Amino acid sequence: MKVFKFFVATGVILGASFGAAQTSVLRVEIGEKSVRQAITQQTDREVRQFSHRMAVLTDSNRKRTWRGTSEFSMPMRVELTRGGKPLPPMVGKRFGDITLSFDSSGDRVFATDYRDLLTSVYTKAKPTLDALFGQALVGGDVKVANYDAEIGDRQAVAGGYYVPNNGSGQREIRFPVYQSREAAAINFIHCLLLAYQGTTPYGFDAYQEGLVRAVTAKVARTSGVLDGFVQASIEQVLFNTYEVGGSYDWCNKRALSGSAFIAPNLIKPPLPTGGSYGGLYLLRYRMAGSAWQKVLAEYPDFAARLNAKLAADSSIASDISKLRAAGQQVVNEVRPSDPTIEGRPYVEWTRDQHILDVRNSSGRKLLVQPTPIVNGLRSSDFGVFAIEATYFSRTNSGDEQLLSGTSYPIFWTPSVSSRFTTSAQDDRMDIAGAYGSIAPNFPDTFSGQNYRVPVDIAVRDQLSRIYLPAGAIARPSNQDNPNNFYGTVAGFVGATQVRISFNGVVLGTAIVQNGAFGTLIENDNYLRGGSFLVEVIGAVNPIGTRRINKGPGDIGLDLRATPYSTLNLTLPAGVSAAGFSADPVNQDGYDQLLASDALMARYDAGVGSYSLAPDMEPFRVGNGVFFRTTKAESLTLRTVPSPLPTAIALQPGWNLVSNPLGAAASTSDVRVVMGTDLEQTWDASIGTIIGADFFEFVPGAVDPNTGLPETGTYVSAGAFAPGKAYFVRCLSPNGAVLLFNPVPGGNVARTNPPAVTWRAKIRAYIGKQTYFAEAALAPNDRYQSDAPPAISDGLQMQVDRQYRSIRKGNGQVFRLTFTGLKKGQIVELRFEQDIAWSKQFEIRDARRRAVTKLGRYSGRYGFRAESSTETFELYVGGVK
Amino acid sequence: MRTWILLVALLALVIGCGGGGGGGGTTGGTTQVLTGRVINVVTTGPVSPAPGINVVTGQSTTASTSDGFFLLDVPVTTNAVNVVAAGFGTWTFGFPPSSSDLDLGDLWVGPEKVTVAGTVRDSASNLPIANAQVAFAGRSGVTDASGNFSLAEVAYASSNLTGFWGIEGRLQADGYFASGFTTNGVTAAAGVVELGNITLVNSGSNTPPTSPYNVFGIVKKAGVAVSGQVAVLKGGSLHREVTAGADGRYYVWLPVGNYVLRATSGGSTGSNVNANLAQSNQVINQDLTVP
Repeated sequence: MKVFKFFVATGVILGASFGAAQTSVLRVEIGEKSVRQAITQQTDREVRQFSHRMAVLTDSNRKRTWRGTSEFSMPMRVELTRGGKPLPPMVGKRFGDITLSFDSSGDRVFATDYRDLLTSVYTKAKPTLDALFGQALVGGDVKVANYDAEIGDRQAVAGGYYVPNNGSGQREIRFPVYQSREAAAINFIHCLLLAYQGTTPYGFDAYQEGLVRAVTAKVARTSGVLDGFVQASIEQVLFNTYEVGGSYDWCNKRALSGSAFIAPNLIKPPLPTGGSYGGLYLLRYRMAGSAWQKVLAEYPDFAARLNAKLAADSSIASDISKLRAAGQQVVNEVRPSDPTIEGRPYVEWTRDQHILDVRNSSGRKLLVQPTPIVNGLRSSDFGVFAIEATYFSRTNSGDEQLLSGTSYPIFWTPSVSSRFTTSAQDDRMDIAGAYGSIAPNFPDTFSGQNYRVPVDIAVRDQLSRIYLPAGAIARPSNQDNPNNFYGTVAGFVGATQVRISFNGVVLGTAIVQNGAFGTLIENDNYLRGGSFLVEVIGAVNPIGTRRINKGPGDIGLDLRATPYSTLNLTLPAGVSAAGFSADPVNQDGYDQLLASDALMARYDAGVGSYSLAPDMEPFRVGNGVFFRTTKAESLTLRTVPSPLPTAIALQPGWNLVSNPLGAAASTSDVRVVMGTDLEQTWDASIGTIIGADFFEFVPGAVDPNTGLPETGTYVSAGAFAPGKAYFVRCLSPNGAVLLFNPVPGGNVARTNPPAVTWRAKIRAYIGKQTYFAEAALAPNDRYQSDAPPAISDGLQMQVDRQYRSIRKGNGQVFRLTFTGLKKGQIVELRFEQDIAWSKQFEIRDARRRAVTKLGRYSGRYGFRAESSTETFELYVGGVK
Repeated sequence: MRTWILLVALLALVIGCGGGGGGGGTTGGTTQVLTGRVINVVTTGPVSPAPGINVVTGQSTTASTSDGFFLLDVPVTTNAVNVVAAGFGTWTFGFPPSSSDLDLGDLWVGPEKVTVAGTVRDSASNLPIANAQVAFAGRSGVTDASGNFSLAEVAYASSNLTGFWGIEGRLQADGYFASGFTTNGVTAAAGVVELGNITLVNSGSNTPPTSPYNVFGIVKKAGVAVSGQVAVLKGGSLHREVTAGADGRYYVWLPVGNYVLRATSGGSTGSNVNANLAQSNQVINQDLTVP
């Protein structure tokens, strides 16, 4: 079986060179074949196989969201290669009209009425195609041939495809016979646009696939182009594969980013016949269409103008900086007084659309995609959503591994004060082959009022949150005509309404109830789509505004008082650790540090080792990261702050985490959730879910050779300060979730700390480093705490191989051990009995034959290391 | 679930009435109760028609319910059951004898049988874990000294692998977090589904991992780990000096570059060893020796 290859826009075969750019253009190697029929059959076969894989990869997602309403098809560009080199594209009149030609006989002929349908679509669409996409880059004849599109899936066919050179010196569109006229028309427009691009496609799927999709949708909806077709069917086809509809805000997540929409490794066999694999790839296509649809809403001929710039300078195709600059130029030319998209500068706006971020970031990723269920509701249904999760990891080469795991979804009350449950089948989401789903029905708990449901989906150390508006979209009473303007608000004080306007005319107002809103707007301007102003109203006046561009149909909004902010990441020279109290929008800071030769690492308890940049995942809220820089660094990161109490996920073992909020949090501000249990306090979780202590890394002295702090020490922490990294140990085999909620609230019962009857804090001063450990007496060992990870110079102080050793009763002997000492190092020990005290507390040094009694507050002992390991006994007698 | 409880209760009643002095399936006597569920790997649902279940020695026979669940009142010495499933033949599932009631879990049957094999390793050290308990599709076993396991006669359907790939296995070992695993994406070759390495995370982490490093190893003398110092030279000059602990292990986090490593222990200095880091995500495992 032949292996499909994505090609690099520069014409280099993938694998030989992994350039920055790659697109989902299919390359078919035809070798020395010269007979047209043989080439055609091979190409058709490989297109079918490729489409089959796409169908499999999106199967579960389609079943959830399409519910059998349409068949799947995926038009594409196909290039034939001979000896790895693309056949030269056919040249013709630059910027001319294309002319369609059809066989009149043979096995590639269309039925007359179908041929007439395609001809008619082109004739009617051509003026709009020219206006929105620009005249075809290369004019002249384009052959249209019938081909067999069966791919062995009753709900999927291979879409049409465009070949710049079919091996016989012709440009060709090979097109299937669709049962649906609407699917035929839309997919044919798509293929025509591929033919319009001629020899110069964009080097990134986000641009290549996205622009074509957005323009296809706009052409299909242009008055006069598809008159006589069933409008509802057109909208269904467009929603299924061309745009994401009202879900854009919910799906605008970092996991979408990347240079190609389908990872190279996922187009190779075998894929499961069952088709349970993740639907992220289809979502990427749809999100790209919707992203550019937002641009076209304000700049209808944006694609035509950008295409012209690409034709003038093909070097921009695979250079994202140039592409962004070219886009900004287009916007400047069209509207110099206000060159913005949705009210924001074009370049800034594109950076915030994750589907337009063409960089391949490494690491595990979790994307959660909600879909409101609006029909088939029963009397007890109030807020029903399908929630799909896609869980995968990406390697540095762009390959994606489809991961499996288990999540215990957490549904929070509107202010994230406590957890609530729906039905048992929604308590757990099994993810296999990257895909998992649940369909919770959020109950009517506020006497018929809408409410916001913060939903946390956590798998291992990944956590993704979405805010859903329960009751605000469809209930049994309005499922025949559900609301089409809905969403949630967060971070606004006193929000009462959300209002939407078009050109200064208010189209509708929705009341905010418990953070959620929803209403039905039947105004034609709203239904058609365009650029709208959304205002969050306080007692009387607006307290927040946002400009929204949308296409026809619904819109769901995640409105936040502070959608974006900045976070200063200040790193000292040498080794340090830092955390992220807000979610970086993109990987700019990460890339900047990599470019400055900084080392970065994050501990992954799942594999028991550090992930080193660039294999390390990009910065993420709630994560801690080790850095090693050659000079002090100060970066300003664009971030999404958390409007409500925020959670982070722990996997079993040691986790390097950070406070996800901008305010300091003590342990009493942190709730702990394990599996399907209700949340509990930090103290109550010690010994069963989390370790007794968590540790902060403090950089040590300057290394005399490098002139930088190369090591440091771990210090037991009492609170989570913003911006710092902490090692927290999770004891639960299923992992856990920590909810940071500095505002007292909720219904969680507090428990007292374990009863420690005596404790001695031990500090060791070695050079400029300080090391910590504790010995204690308590009725049980729940308060016992493992030592933190040792620092890289190997030096560690432990009591009974613990950070805190707990023993029961008086007359105990603890073993104090140092490892990693250098011979001759001077160690000064200080002891403080801070809980109760013992007159019989002493240190016994067998090597030096010394016994020293230690006072209550200021016991001291010193020694000069004679070997790398030194051991002492600490004896504690009667405690008062 | 409510239906299942009711069916089990009814079955228990029937068996209790007909069985005479079998002890009623309670613990402490000469009989025990076996429960479980039979699942078709093709459909991931119950086998239709409901398969017959009996103990290998033939003392007890029952048909599973339409949900696939079964309940058997059997002697405490029982160590295997036969599942006779239409179209799939007879499947024998073994288990350790028990004096108390046993839930055998899900017993998967199907058109084909394969061996599921793999190696269980420590996630941190990558060392094999011996005596780890492995359970999958109704089969169970333990790992050998090399961490290897092999479960024979596991239900399989090459025509539709979705069900097989969705089965969650279970791994358990002393000192480690229990963990699930699947065969997701792996197909049988010559009758064996080889899963490769499966890792478990140590739960009693008294020797936690060190901080970041990209060059590490063990300092050895005559093949035995020893403590000492490791000098890291760059361009002929001393760049870093780190300590190897009592276990001989050393760790150092270095920028991209070409380095020379040299170990010293007990007054003896080893020879120079090159460590060239071409990329920041490269990790070099380099043991060093001293004379």
